[in-house]
Parts: sequence; structure tokens; C-alpha cells
Amino acid sequence: MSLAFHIFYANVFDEVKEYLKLLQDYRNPVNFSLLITVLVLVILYLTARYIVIPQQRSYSDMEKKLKMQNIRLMALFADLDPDPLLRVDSNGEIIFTNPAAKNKGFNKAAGKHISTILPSLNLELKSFIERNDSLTFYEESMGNHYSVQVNGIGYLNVAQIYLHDITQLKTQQEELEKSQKELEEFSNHLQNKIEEERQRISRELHDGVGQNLVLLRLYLQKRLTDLTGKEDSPEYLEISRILGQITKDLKEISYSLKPIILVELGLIPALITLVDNIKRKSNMLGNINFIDMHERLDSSLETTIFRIVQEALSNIIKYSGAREFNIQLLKKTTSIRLIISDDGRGFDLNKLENKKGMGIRNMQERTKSHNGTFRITSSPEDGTIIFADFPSGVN
Amino acid sequence: MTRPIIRVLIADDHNLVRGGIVSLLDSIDDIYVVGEADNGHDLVNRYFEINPDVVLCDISMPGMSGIDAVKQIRKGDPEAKVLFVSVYEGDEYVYQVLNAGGKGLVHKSIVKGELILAIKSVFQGIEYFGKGYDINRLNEIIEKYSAVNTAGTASPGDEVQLSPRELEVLRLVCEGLSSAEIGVKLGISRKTVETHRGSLMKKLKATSSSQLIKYAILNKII
Repeated sequence: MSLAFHIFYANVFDEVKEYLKLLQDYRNPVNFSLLITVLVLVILYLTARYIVIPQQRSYSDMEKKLKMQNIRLMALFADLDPDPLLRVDSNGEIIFTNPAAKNKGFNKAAGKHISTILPSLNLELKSFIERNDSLTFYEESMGNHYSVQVNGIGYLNVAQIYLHDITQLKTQQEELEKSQKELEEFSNHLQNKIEEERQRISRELHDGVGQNLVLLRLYLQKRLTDLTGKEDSPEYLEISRILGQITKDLKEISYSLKPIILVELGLIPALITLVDNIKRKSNMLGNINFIDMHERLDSSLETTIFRIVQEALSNIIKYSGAREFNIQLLKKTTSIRLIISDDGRGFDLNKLENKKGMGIRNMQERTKSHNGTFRITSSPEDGTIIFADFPSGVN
Repeated sequence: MTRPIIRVLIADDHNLVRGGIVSLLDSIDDIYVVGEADNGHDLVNRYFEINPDVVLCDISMPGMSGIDAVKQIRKGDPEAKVLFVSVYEGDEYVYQVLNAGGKGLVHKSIVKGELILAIKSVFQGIEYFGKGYDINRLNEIIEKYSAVNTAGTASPGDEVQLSPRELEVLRLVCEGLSSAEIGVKLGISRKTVETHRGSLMKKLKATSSSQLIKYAILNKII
């Protein structure tokens, strides 16, 4: 074994010796190829060191410059923006406020979390920014009302928050609503006053003037009987006929102002009389039904319902060309429902002439003044249907 | 045979009218004016003091009206016989009187003979409302003015059978919805809704939505 190893070792030793001898010769091709390899490596190194890397650097510098420019531009716009603008990072920390934001006191929140000034803004900002998402909402902050727009800017890893001050708008809106409400209240008040006044005049004509006509008749009767010696002289009959006509007219005027029957007997007899009169005068078929209306309603609600029916029937007579109308008044568990329908030609609710439009508005207003809801549908096929629901106001 | 004497209490806020009536009745042997009142409260008090046979009362007086006063009197004396006097004529006044429990109504321009007839009728317990107002007419007026239906009592179509779908459509018609809106609500086409409407009208013999609503309400479908 040791002899075999010795022979092997001697052989290898010899070969190595031979090889080294060959290397010493510069013409050896192995040497040549080694030299070329080293040269290529050197060239590659130099190219990378002095050409590729500097160029890459200049690109990234340019990109940085561009970004900066962008940021500066944004900052410039932000500076010029009359509305407050805030910029937050992906953690929600306020990293920038523009001068307008400073004026509104938002700079005090710089470095703090955005939720300290905009509590409604609670979202996962990181992914919001990555998605370049945007969002709009309203918030009251530092004593003003703002319309808030949040834009995520993914490549800057920030979100810009634009705050548009709508305090003035809001105040104006509130003022408008207030004055609208005042107007409504005033209109209701006026309506009530008109009703009171009509009732007073109606009563005066009905009771006062009417009674005096009776006295006049009695007086004339007595005088004419004394003069002519007859109780039914032609003179008396003629005067009596005229007085009768005046009394009839008086009754109608009083009724049109405010039916005494509505005050004294209530809504149901008043509506029956109204429907009776209209049927007689218009030749229309008419029907009125009362369902579960066993008790009298609050007197102002009775007046309101009476006036709505009056207005609706007047519209039906003037415009609908209907052959028939139906009125239903029903007491439900918590409300009173009034339905007035006809089989007329209907009309376009969007194209109302002034007069008819006013009539419908009037009905609407009257319903509203009793916290009721008003609905009207109209078409050539189905005629016109009016629905008015009132919260129960049983006395 | 002596005729009974009718004791009358007169209430009217106009002294002259009251005076006129009193003087009219003065000459009548069997009618005595036993008291006068010029307002509702006074009338109620005097009625229970005097206990007259007949009250002759103006419908409208300031403060408590004649109608209210008579209602109060009839609470204490359901047998009270009252003849109302009014300036005006009309069904609504007749109903007002009947509703208050009055036995009659005459116009203020009434002539002596008719007034006596009216007082005597009321005294005998017979209604007196003048020409044209017989018992049938009075019943008609009462029926007309007390038209307070209890739902479910009227049934224009007796044996009408409506399908559940038709009932749904009818209910929504009564809520004021158009065919298109009903379609959306029930998830069916407008045309189908119109078909249901058509068959409803046919079954209920209605010629308009107005009549459909009337039917639904009188039958307590809504």
C-alpha cells in the first residue's frame, strides 16, 4: 500500500513539475487567455465605476428634483389657496399647514393627529393614501363649518386635506330656513285671523242683519195692515217677497264666508250641506262618506278640512269636467284621512296655471299647518285624487 | 169641554221680536205667555222656574245659543217641548233643531194662524216644521245628516270575490299610487297592474279610480 501511494505521488509530482515548466513560457495559450480575462474585468469595472453609476445617480437626483419641484408647486398653490389646507402623513400626523390654515388656527394642531381637529376622519390612512383614494364630508371644527375633501397622494405618501369654509353658507341657509318658518307661521296666523274675521262677519250678517230684517218686516206688516186694513195687501206681499230674497242672499253670503252650521253643528253636517249645494248647482253626481267619525274634531281642524274640501270641489267644478266626485273622511287609529277624488280629465301637476296652482298650494299649506301630509295624483285615466292625513285631534 | 191652556215661555234676544210675538199671542184665549228670556242662560233658568208647556225659542242668540240652551234643558227634562224660531230656512236648520231635540221650527215671518197651529202641534207632541216637511222628509233629513257610516256596513258588491293580488292593488290605489308605482312596489309590470285594475273595475262595477276607492273604504279594505 505504501509502495502504491509512493508511485502515485511520484507521478503527480512529476506532472506538476512539467506543467510549471510550461507556464514559464509566455507563449503558452493558457497564459494568454488569463491575460485577456483580467483585461475584460478591468474594462467592465471602469465602465461601471465611471459611466453607469454616475448616470444612475443623476437620474435619481433628477427625480428628487422633480419631486421637490412638485412639492414646491403644491406648497405654492397651498400658500395661495384662500382655504385652509393640511397635509398629513400615513400615520395621520399633520406635517404641513398653509397660511389660510394658520389664520383659522389649525397650525396649533401641527404635529398632532388629524383626528384632534377632524374627529370624523377615522379611516385607515395608509391604504387610503396607497389607493390614491379621495373622500368628502362635512365637519364643524374650531367654530366653523367646513366641507372637507381628503385626497391620498400615493407617490408622496401623504394625504392633502382641503377645508372649504361653508359657515356663511350654513348661516345663510339657517337664516333662510328660519325666515321660511316665520313666513309659514305668519301665513298660519293670517289664515287664522281671516277665519276669525270671516266668522265674525258671517255671524253678524246671519244673526244681526237677518234679525233686523225680520223686525223691518214686522213693522211694515203692521203699518200696511193699519193703512190698507188687510194683512196680505199686494204691497205687503211684494215687500215680503223682496225681504225674503234679501234674507236668502244673506244666508248664502254668510254661508260662503263661514257656515254657521260648521261652528254650531260641526264638520259632518257642514260638509253634507256643502255637497248638497254643489250637487244641486253643478248637476254632478256626488258622494260623501264618513267612516268611524263619531266625535267632533278640534274646531280649527274642522275648519281646515272644510276649507280643503271647499277648495277641491271648486277646482273640480271649474276645471275637471268630471261627472262624479267622491269624498271620504275616515278616522283611523292615530289619524284622520280625507280623500277627495273625481273622474275628470286630470291635469299635469308640473304645469299648473297660477290660479289652480295657488288653490293646490293653499290646500297643502292648510294641511301642513296641522302637521298633516298632503298628496295629490292626477292623470287623464284616473282623474284627480287628493289625500290629506292629519294626526288625530279629537276633542 | 174646555180646552187646556198652553203655557208658553218665549226666548229671543230682540225685544221687538219678542214683543211682537207676545202681542200676537195676547189675543189667543188658550195660549198664555208665562215668561220671557233674552239669552240662553236665562232661558234655562226660567224654564226650570216656570216649567212651561211649550218653549218658543230663537235658534241663535248671543252667548249661549238657543240650540245649546235647549240641549241643556232636555238634559234636565227630556220631555221638554220646544218650538224653534229662525230667520232662515233650509234642511240644515231643520236638522239642527231635530238634533237638539226640538219639536218644530217656524220662520220669523210666520203669520199668526200658522204660529198658533205650530204651538198647538208641538204641545200635543206632533212635530211642526212647516210646508213640505212631513215625517218622511224629516226622516230623510235625519238619515242624510247622520251619514256617519261604520266601516263594513255598506257593501255595494255583495258576492264579489277579489284575489289576494287584486286586494293588494286596490289597497295601493287607495294610497294614491299610480300603476307604475304599484308595479315597482309589487315587483310586477305596469301592464299587469293595469290588468288587475281592469278586472277590479269590472268585478266592482266601477268606472273610475274614484269609485274603486269608495268601494274599498266602505268595505274596510284599507
